Amino acid sequence: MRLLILLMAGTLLAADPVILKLCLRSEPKTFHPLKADEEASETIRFLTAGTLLRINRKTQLPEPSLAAKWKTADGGKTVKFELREGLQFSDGTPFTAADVVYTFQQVAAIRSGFTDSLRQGEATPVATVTGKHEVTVRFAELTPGWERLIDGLGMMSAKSPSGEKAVMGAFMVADHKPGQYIALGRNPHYWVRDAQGKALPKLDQIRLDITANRDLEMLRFKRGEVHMINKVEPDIYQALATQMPEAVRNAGVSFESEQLWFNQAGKAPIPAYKLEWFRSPVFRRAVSESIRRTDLAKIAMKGLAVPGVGPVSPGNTVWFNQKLTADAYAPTVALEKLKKAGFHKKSDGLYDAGGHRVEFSIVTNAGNKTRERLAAMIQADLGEIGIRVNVVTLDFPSLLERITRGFNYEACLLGFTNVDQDPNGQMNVWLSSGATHAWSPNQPKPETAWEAEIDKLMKAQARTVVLAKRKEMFDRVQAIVHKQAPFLYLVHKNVLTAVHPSVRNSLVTVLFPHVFSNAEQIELQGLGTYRSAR
Amino acid sequence: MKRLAAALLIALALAMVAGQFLLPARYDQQFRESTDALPGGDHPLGTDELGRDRAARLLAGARVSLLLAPAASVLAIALAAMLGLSAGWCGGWWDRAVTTLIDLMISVPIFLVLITARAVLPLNVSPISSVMITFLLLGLLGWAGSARVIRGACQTHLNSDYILRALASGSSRTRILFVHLLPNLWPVLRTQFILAVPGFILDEANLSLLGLGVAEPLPSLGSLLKELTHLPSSANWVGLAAPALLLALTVGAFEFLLPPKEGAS
Amino acid sequence: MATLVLTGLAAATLLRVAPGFDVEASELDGRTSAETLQQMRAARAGEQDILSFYGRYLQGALRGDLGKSRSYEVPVMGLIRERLPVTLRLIVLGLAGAWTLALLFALANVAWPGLNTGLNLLTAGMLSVPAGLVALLILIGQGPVALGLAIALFPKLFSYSRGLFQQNAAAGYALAARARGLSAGRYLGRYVVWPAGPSLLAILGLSVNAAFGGAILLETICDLPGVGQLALQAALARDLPLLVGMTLFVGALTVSANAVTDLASLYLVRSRSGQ
Repeated sequence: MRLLILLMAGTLLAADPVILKLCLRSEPKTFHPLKADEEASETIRFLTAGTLLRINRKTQLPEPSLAAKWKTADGGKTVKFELREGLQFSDGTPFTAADVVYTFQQVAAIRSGFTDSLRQGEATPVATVTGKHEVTVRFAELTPGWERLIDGLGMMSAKSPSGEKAVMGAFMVADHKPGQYIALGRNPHYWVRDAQGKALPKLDQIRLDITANRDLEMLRFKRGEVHMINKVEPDIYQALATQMPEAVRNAGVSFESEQLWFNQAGKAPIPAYKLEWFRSPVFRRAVSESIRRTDLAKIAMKGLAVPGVGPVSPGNTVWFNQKLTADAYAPTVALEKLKKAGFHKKSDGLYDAGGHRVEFSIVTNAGNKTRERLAAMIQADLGEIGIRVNVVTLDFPSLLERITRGFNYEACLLGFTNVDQDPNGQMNVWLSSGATHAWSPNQPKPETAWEAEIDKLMKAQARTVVLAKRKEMFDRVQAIVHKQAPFLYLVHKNVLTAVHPSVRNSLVTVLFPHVFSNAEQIELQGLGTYRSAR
Repeated sequence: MKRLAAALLIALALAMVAGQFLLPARYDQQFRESTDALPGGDHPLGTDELGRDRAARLLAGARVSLLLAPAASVLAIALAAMLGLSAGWCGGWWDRAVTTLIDLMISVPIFLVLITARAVLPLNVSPISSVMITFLLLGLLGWAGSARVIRGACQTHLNSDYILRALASGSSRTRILFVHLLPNLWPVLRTQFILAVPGFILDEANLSLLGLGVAEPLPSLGSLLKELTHLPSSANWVGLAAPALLLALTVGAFEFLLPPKEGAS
Repeated sequence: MATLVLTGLAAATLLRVAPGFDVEASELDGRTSAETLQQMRAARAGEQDILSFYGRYLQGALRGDLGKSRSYEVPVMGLIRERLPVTLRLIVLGLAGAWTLALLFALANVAWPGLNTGLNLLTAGMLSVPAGLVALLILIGQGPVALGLAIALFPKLFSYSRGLFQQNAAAGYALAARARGLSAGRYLGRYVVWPAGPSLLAILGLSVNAAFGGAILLETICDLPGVGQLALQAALARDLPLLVGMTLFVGALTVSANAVTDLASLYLVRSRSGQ
C-alpha cells in the first residue's frame, strides 16, 4: 500500500511539462532579432531576446536588464553601460562586452524597419568596449527616447556557433513547424531568479500556434486549450464577457486608432475635381464633422473604444494633447462650411461648384468585420449630407498596391497597429518626405504650409531630450493635424485581452505585449506547484 | 407537390416585388438604437448588428441573388453544354483542345483571375453593378466542371444502342443530335442548373474577400448566409436562419418544378 | 504533360499580373526608410520577368525542387511532403463517405420513389448551407473534419447519381426487364447502376477536384496542417514559388485523376458496346 502511494507520488512529481498556449495570427517572418518588424516576429523576440535594459510595461519606466546600470553623457548622445558579469547565452557561450559591440555592428549591416528606427540618416549608433564589462554607445545624433529603442535590441553572440539562435531571454526556440506552431522552451542559462532565488522562467514551454481563425481561437480558449489571447476582437470579447467574465481583461484605451484618409497624392490617377475636394481642408473637416463617432465606438466597436481624437490616443498619457477633443457631430455646421466653399445640396445629393456629384469610394481590407462595420456606418452618416460613398473591401496585397504604389484610390480606412508611444517612431508618417506619409508620401518638398510646419516641428522635437519641450512641439503637431484632418481619426480602440483562469501572475498592460510582458513569472495553476525545486 | 412548389415561387416573387412597400424599413436604414434586436414589434425578423431590419434585407438579398444566380447558371450551363457537347460529339483534336481547356480552368486558381478582374474594374461602381459583374464572372468562369460531366454523358449516350441503331438506319446526324441526344442530356443539364444556383449564390459571398461580390449597403443572400459562418453574436436564431431557409425552399421548389426527364429515349 | 506545364505557367502569370505582387506590409511601417524599402523590393527582382522565372522553375521542378516559399522560408517540396498525408486522408475519407452515402441514397430513391420529396428537401437544405457553417459546427462539436467534407460533397454527388439512376430506370429496356420479373437486386445492379458507370466515373474525377477545393476551405477554417492551407496562403500572400508548386501539384493530381477515370470509362463503354 505504501509502495503504491509512493509510486503515485512519483508519477505526480514527474509531471507533464507545463506549457502555456497562445495563438499567433500569422507566421513570423523571421527569428532574427534585428529583422523582427511585425507582431508575430516581435512576439518571438520579446520572449527570447535579452536586452540591455527593459521598459517595465506597467510603470513604463526603463529598468536594468543585461546592463546593471548606465550613465548618459555628452547631452545624451553617449551612454555608458555596465554589464552584469558571468552571464551566458542559451547555448552556454559567455556573454561579454564584445557581443554588445557585435550586435551594434549588425544593426548597421542589416536593413529592416527596426534597424531603421535606430538609424539616423545613414549612421547607426557605434558601440565600443571601454572596460572589462563596460560598453559605451555613441549615437550619431541626439536620440530622445533611446531607452525604448534599446528595449527592443536583442543581444546577439559574436562567437556562438548557433549564430542568432543563441539568445539571452527567458525562452528559446525549441521547435518550429512552418504554418503550424512554434514551441519555445526554457532557456537553461537564463540569469534572472525569482524572489526565493529559484531559476526562472516558471513555465517549461510556451507554445505559439499559428491560427488566423479567431472563432477557433475562442473555442479553444473556452476549452482551456489556449491560455491567453493577446488582442481580442470586439465581437469575441463581447461573447467571452458573457460566457467567461473572469477571463476577459479590458486594459483601457490603447495607442492604436482606426482612421480614414483621402488620397492627396498629385500623381493619383483620379479625376482632378476629386483631388481638389480631397485637398481642401474645409471638405475634410466637413466630412469629419458629419461622422457620428460616438455611434462608431458604441456599435462598430461594441462600446470597446473611444471616439478618435488625433494622432496620439488619450491612452498615451505622456504624449496626448489634453486640449484636443474628438470632433463633435455637427452636420449642419459642416453643410454650411461646404456651402461657403462652393458646394450645394440638391434633393438627390451634394454637388460641387463644377456640378459634379460628390461621390467617392473607401477602400479597406476584406475580412475585418470591425472595419466593414465602420465603413458601412460612415457610408450611412455621409449619405445624410448627400455624399454617396462606395465601400470596396480588397485583399491586403491589392490594397497595399493601391495605397503605396499606384495611388489608385480615393479614400482609405485602415488602422495603424503597433503604434509607438514616442512620436519619433512615427517620423516617416509625419515628415512630408516620409514613405509612410500616407495621404501623399515622398514629397520632394512640402506641398502645403501646414505640412512644412509639421516637418519643422518634428525635426526640432527630435533634436532635444527635454521631454517638456518635445511635448510642447508635438502638441502643436497634434493640433495642426486635428485642424487640417489629413487623417480623420475615427476611434481609439481599447486593449482587449483574455487570460484563462488557470493562468497565474500574468500582468495586463497597455504596452505590447499586453498579457505576457512578465512571461518568466507566469505559472499555470495546479501544474506549476508540482515542479520539484531546482 | 408541383403545385405547392409553384405557389411558393409565386409567393416569393410577389414578396420580393411588393415587400419593399409593405415593410416599414428600407434595407439600408440603420436603426442604431436597436442593434441586434430579436424578432418582434417593428422588426419581424429582428435587426442585424448595425440595426438594419433583417426582413427587409432578406427580401432585398433575395431579389439580388435569386434573379442573378439563375441567370449566371444559365450562362454557365449554356457554355458548358456548347463546349461539352461539341467535344463529345466531334471528338478528335477539338475534343482534346476542349479537354485541355477544361483541365486548365479546373486546376488554375480562379481567384487570381478574379483579383485581377477587380483591379481592372473602377472603384466607384454601384453596389448593384458590382454584384451583376460578379455573377457574370461566375457564369463565365464556372462552366468547366459541368462541361466535363456533359461531355462524359454525351460520350455515354453516343455509344449506346439506340443511337447506334439510329445511325445504322440512316438517320442524319442533325436528327440524331436533336431528337435523340439532346433530350437524353436534359436530366444532366437540369441537375447542373439546379446545383449551380445555390453554388453561385454561396460563391458570390466568398468573393467579397477579393473585393467582388455585393457592396455595402446592398445585401445578397450569400452575404446574409455568411453571417452563419462565424460564432453567433446574438441569440436571434430565426433571423440568422431565415436566409438559409429561404434559399433551401427556393432550390427545393426548382427541383420539383423542373421536370426530371424530357421525353423518353 | 503539356497541360500541366501550361497550367503552371497560367498560374504564375496570373499571380504576377495580379495587383499587389511585390508590395510588403513593411511599406506601412512608420519606421521603414526609403532605402530599406528599395532593398526589400529588389529582393523580388528574380520574379519580375515571369517567363524566365518559370523556365528556371520548371528546370528545378524536373529535379524535384519546387523552389522556396516566400511566406515560410522553407522548400516547397518539403512543405508539400509534410502536409500531404493530412490532406490525402481528409480527401479520401471525405470522398468515401460522400460517395457511399450518395450512392446508397440514390439507389434508395429509385427503389422507393416515395422518398423523393424528403430527399429533395434534404438536398436543397444542404446546398443552401455555406461550407463555412458546416466547418464551424464541426469545430464546435469537435467532430472529424472529414465528416464536414463528406457533408459538403454529398448533395451534388447525390443529385448526379440519382439523376443518372432515375434516367436509367426509366429507359425502355429497364422497364421491360423489371416487368419480366427480374429481382430487385439484379435489376438495380444491371440496368440502373452499371449503365451509369462512365458518367459516374467522369463525376468521380471531378469530385476529386471538388474535394480538394473543399479541403482548402476546411483546412483553413479548422486549422488542419494540410496542403489546402498552403494553396490559399500562396494566393493571398502572392507567394510565387509556393503557388506554382501547388498548382503543378494539384494539376498533376487532376490530370491523373481524370486520365484514370477517362481510361476506366472508355474501357467500360467499349466493353458495354461489345456486349
